[in-house]
Amino acid sequence: MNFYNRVLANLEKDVLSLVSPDGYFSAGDLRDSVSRYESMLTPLNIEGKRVALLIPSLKEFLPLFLAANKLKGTVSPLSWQFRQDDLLNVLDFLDPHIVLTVDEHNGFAFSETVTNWAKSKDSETTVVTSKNGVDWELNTFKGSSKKLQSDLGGFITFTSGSTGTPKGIVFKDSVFDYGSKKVLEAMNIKPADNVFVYASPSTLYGVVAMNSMLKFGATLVVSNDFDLVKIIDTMEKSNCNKFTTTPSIFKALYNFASRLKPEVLKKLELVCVIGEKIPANFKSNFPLMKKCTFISHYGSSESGSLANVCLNENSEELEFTIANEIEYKTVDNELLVKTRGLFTEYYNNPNITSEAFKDGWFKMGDLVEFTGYKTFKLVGRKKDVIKKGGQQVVSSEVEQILSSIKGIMSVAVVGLPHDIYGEQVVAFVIADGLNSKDIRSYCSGRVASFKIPDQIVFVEEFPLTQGKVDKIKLKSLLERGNN
Amino acid sequence: MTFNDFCIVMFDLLEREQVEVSEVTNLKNELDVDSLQMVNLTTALADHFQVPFSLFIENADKTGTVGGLFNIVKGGNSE
Repeated sequence: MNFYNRVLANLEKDVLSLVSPDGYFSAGDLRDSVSRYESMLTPLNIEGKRVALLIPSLKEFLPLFLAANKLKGTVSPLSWQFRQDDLLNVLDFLDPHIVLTVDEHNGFAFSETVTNWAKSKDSETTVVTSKNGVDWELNTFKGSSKKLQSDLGGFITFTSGSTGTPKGIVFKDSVFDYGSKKVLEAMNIKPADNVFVYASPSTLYGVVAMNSMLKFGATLVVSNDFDLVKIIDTMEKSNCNKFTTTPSIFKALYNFASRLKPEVLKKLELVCVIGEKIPANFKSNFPLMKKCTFISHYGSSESGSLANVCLNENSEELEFTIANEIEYKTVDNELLVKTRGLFTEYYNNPNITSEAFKDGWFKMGDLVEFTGYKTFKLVGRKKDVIKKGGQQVVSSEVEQILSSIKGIMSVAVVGLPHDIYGEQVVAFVIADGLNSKDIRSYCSGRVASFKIPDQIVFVEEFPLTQGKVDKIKLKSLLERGNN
Repeated sequence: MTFNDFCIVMFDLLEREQVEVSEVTNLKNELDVDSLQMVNLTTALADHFQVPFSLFIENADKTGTVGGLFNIVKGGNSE
């Protein structure tokens, strides 16, 4: 069954499904939009084709996603935080048959970049562009035909992209049923709820959470931009009572709203934060929200939600409870899982797919300690990934970017704890004749801003262990310096 | 408070090493301050300098440059 039948087909026509800064939209309105996009896409025969979307307006993105999925294309919602290098690298890797993109967003010329990319290729690509996300112009750049891949199905999300091989995570449509059930249960969603989902639609969580709210007949509340004044206004006009986003975004929202319209915070009954390391006493940051329930999910971009925790003001440690239906075990303290919500493969990369699994078990890369049947604490991380502000930053990717700057002799990138972002990206650099502004300027426009180091520390040499940079020592040097 | 004094506090709140800036330095394009950092910077500036946060909202068009932020804080302090 496709997403459209799972999500929109059975809703009452007049039920309020979506509230965004653009207005109020019923299920009927969304179905009309899906029909409009189906008519636009049908002549492109998209079955088995890879369809990339760069559409920041969620009232257009959601129907487009559903229409492309209904027509059996494999949809890849790309992050509009991508800039030149990230975007081109992901386009080269995914090699989509069709790209639907807005002309420009946040000062970056998406359609120009995509069009130039398509022109430079020998294979045929259709680029569909729009100034306003409503009216579309279609251009096909001729070339050899690309292979169809009907077996992929579902959708592909990307976790990194600017250097090396991007990681495309492939999901079948069926993961939605599992993921949706977990989100709806954890957030105790009722049809009367007005749920703000501020999560990137280019992630599994974004895709599942947004579509789940629609499917259940609740009202999905969204914002196309990180504009807190608009977000707060939209919360007010939608009578929003539940919210899900990253801890850092929620903290920023609270900071703003507590000064501008504290009543929107007091109306929230439940906040679900995901995607970053969360301090145990996270709830204590929100004194205006004593009655609100705070929860968090544990999971990954490949597995979706696996476990939940209720965040209390005085908690000293977080103890997650693993959800029913999930098989789990630990090997050398690393958590391994089997669930119906798992990704199928890394796109076009059988090697890293097989490395990610051990005898059919997905390796989470997190070290855990089980404290009881189904309850565990996170004690460390095996993978070299920094979780900053809800985004995943691969240390080696940032190291490669910085290494390409003339004047940088050597670089080591680590994640350090940060009060607001969960973790921050810190680059230790051995360089000649460069300052941090030069380094940031180089990165700007080439890679998404969240990958640009928050701190750049110039050193003369690196501590080594067994011939490799001792990142643990580097971290401890800076942590000691900060205390 | 001089522009220089303000910059020292601003970089401290951004948790960044200080670099040379002028009043027209653009925070997003030249200092790579992203939207989330910008939000946290404005709330932290309001708290640090004890100026009404509403001034940053009312003067949102001026928050793009270091000089703009400086003038908002200076204006708030003189009220």
